[in-house]
Amino acid sequence: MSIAFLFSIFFTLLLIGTPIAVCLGASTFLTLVLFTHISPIEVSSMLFEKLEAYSLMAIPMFILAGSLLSKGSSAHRIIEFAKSIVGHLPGGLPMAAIFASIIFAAVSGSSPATVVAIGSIMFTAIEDAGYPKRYAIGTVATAGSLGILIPPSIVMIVYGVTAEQSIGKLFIAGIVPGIMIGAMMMAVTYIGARRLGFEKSAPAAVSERFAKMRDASWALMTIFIVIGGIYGGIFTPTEAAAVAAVWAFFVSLFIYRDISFRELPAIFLDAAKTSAMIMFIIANAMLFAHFLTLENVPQMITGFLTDMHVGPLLFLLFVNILLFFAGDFMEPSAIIMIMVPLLLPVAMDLGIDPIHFGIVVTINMELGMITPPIGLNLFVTSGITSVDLKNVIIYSLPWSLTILAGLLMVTYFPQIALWLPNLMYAD
Amino acid sequence: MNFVGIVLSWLDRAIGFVNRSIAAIGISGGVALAFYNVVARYLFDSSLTWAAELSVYLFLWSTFFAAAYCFREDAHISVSILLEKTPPKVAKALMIISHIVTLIFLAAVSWYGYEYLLLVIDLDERSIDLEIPMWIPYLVIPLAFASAALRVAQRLKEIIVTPAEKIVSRSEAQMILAEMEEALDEKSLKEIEKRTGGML
Repeated sequence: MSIAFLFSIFFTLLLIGTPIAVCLGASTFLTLVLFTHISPIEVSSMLFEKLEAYSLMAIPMFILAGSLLSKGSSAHRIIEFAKSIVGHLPGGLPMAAIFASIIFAAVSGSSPATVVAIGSIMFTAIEDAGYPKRYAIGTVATAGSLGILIPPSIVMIVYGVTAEQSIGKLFIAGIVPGIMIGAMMMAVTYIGARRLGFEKSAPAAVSERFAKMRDASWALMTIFIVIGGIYGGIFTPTEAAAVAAVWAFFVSLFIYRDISFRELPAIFLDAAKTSAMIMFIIANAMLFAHFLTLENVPQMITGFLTDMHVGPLLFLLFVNILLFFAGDFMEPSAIIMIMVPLLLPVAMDLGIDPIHFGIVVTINMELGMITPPIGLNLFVTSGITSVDLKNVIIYSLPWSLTILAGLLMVTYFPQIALWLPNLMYAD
Repeated sequence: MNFVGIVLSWLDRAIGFVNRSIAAIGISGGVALAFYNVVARYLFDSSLTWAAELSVYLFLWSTFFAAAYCFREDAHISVSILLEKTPPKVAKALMIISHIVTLIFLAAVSWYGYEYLLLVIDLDERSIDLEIPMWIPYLVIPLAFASAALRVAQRLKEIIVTPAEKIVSRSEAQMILAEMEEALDEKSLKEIEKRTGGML
């Protein structure tokens, strides 16, 4: 009864355009007051206490690092580096767009911002090189979504905190699937371009590649600070976030000189706003999830699925479908906060590794960004190219289907995700 | 503008300024402290637990005040599909309802947060590492939610007085694009300024 009440209020508010955080908070607040003995005073204090986790503080810090580095010339430098590596192959330019998008999305932490930053340079460049429109639009619209698989990843931090799993291990587990799906997308591009008759040209000289890499390396370092720091056991993810943010500050102010001291307050405020939107959703979603756990909803779902004799394979398929639809109308952190406490107990019950499960969830969140109706990347692409939304979706299909294929592979071959972390953390 | 109006608009700007300042100072201060803590752990081999705690509080203050600021700009992530598909009058009515619900929620959290604050003062709770009275960090809940509620009330008034046809509920994608364009404009403005030597 109270659960039905909670969900109906929640969805009504969501549909009439209430901010997601308020939908979660207000529906839980009302349900708790009406159906339980929890006092509203306690609910207010929970909003503060639920956020007090030190590991969550990595989120504002990575966001700050991202907004410092995404302001200026790093997009250009990363594209130049990507072009020097794959630019000579058939389909080289769109492949470079994919390569650059993945890196930039990981560094900047925002997939729609990646579409703008990489797209504004690459859309016309790819078309001018004689590729059909879909190569320009499809690649940039989809590739940025892979950024959340490459550390630092905010979605993974949220998963790690919710599922009580090591964030470092999750970060490491995302690397192989991220590289694999990125390579698959590039392979699709390569094969398509060969069939269109594009030829291989002379590769860039090693010295040029090296110079381009050095030029981009200052921005790339944020990824390596996180991977290396965690891999080497030097930093915890939260510490890595602090170092990455200070590094980004140093690079954008003194190395790339994209930012002047005068612009800093505006950038700090901007980062604070972006992170507040996510953190505010997290705080309210935690309240929502708290109620569901209080009402034993996870146990009910586990019981139901056990009675139905659902095996791990069927369950994962069910999870993929559920998250795919959830990802189409809600923000990733909210979905994870709500769904993971419900689904993870079942997954563990069925012998699914929680780290593997986290990677599956993360890839699902990617698909949400590039599929209608909410798919932010699609809207942003359509906005900056003035190609209408329907065509952006059609142009993106070859690559979004590739990501879907990647998701199925990672889902049914857990070793793709687990191999690297198990290698590292095996004592 | 009458006297009350002037006071209100002054108050509005003052609250906006406080919101923005705490948001920006909180996030930068939090990062600085967290970084200092990493350095301290490596160089002096002493992890400062109080610094970790203080940085968490700074981030939380930044979060809640920035969240309050976002309400003013309608920047919070929401699903706007239905609003875009319905006729303007219905959309206006729906927006009024959702803003009223938001207002009540924020005001309630602020009020009960205040009652919680009194409780904490009464019990004289202290933080674990800093040993400061817990009501100081908790103060953010009543303050930030009250200013968020005020922001939503202002926005609600704006919506009510604006004719239905003129209300635009911007989707998230549109907002990102608008922001990017703004950044672009600023850049080109600077370029022009540079070229003309600030003559324009």
